[in-house]
Amino acid sequence: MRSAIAGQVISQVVREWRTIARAPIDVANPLMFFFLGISLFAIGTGGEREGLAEIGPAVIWVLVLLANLLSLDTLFKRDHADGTLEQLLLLAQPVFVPVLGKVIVHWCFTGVMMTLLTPLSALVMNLTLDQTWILMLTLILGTPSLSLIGAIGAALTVGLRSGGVLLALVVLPLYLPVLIFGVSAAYLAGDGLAVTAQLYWLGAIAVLALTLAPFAVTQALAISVEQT
Amino acid sequence: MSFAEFVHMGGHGLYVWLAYGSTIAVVVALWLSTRASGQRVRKELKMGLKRQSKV
Amino acid sequence: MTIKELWHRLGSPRWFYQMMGPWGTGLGVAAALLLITGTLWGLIIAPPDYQQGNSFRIIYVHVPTALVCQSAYIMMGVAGFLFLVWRMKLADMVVKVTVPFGMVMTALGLFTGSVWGAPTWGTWWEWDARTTSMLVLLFLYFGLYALRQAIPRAESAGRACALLALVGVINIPIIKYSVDWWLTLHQPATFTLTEAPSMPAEMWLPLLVNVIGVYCLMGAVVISSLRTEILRRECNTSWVREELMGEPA
Repeated sequence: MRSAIAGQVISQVVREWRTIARAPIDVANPLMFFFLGISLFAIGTGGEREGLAEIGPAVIWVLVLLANLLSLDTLFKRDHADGTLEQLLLLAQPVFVPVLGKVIVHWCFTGVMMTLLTPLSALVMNLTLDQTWILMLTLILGTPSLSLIGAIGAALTVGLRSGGVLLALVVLPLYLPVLIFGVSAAYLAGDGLAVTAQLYWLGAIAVLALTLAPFAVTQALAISVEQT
Repeated sequence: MSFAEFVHMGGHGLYVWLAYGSTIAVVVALWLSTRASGQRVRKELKMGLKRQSKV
Repeated sequence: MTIKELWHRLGSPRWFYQMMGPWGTGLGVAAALLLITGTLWGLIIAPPDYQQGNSFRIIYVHVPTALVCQSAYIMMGVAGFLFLVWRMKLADMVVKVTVPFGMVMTALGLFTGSVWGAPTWGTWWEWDARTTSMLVLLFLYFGLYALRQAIPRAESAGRACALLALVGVINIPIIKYSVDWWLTLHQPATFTLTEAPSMPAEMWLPLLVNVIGVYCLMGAVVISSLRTEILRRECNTSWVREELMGEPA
């Protein structure tokens, strides 16, 4: 039974992956925004190298949050518009399988991609090599929680006209712990201190989110589908 | 202790009265608005009922 | 009345409306008496702090509001859970009417805290742990308020907000911990359940009076708005009609 569910999730991931591969611009947009935002910060502060290194970890993390937030908008929108979502909720057994598949793919195209882009943004922000490594580590541990928590907000606001700003209001406060642990790890690494505690915390939050969020997302989707 | 000393609060009068004043104003406003909305809803519903009974 | 009976009765908005009228008034009177007593006591009788002088008196308005807005959020989370699991209509209304109350109280707590910070820390705003988690709490209330406004159907809005309140309640301890650990400057909590307060009784007694008073206020405001909300939602039922016709105009 257990392996059957894992198989279902994997096949869902594959299906989702193919859909997204057909419209790669949806994936590229948030990433371009991420890099644009970081560059804006660098230009806006006058490109002074020490100042950039000071705010670098925070800027990169905040841009990760924002890019993630922007990409959430498309997470359920198409399926909601063409009625696929309703069918998924009715037919899938158990219901969280398609949801988890979607979130995993979302994470691959946002969290993982932004982690891979981090050396580049760290270069722009003049971070040390140590800081860059730690930043990448915290990003890969922290972004799953962002996708999972964000999916709850996306599911709650999917059918609404005022979606975008509302989504930000609902989701961003919930991102705060991830931001704090991620940023503080990068700062401690900059001072040459141990960051194990932060990594454990990010991992723990990710596991908690992975356990609870899929159920919240299915509930939220059921609410959103019901009202249209 | 004179009244002037009491108002002065040992140099911290501004802060103390700002905090107390805002709290009292907000709590009173909260209570009044809660009551007012209750009365408004009751009034509207009663008007609606009267209209219905006439029809 | 056993707990089970109470549970079933809570499913009936009518029973709540008819039972809770006197309770709302009673709690309102109690809140007024306690808050007036505690505030005057704190302003006039309580001695000034040997370090902070008279600005210390802000504690008597700051701590009660800061406590009650956190309790209000937790109450909302519990109500949200009850609504999602048992579809108890009253619980949905609790979530709805607590949001404005909690939002106002959080804003007030932040403001009085900032005013207290000016003479004590020498700054109107400091990114200190408890200040920051209060600010996040305010944002959580904003999110709930905005979500309710954005969803046109009342039933869906209720369930969506209940779910969000529940998610928020699970997050609050993590937010508090992370923020605590990142920024700490605040004086330690005045009341803890496990230890006797470190201040003398003449200082903490008026605070206790105000804290109890503000919880009575929460009870009174929530009950009163709940009764209004019940009337609004059940306006097409015969009992509401009888209730309104029976009342003096």
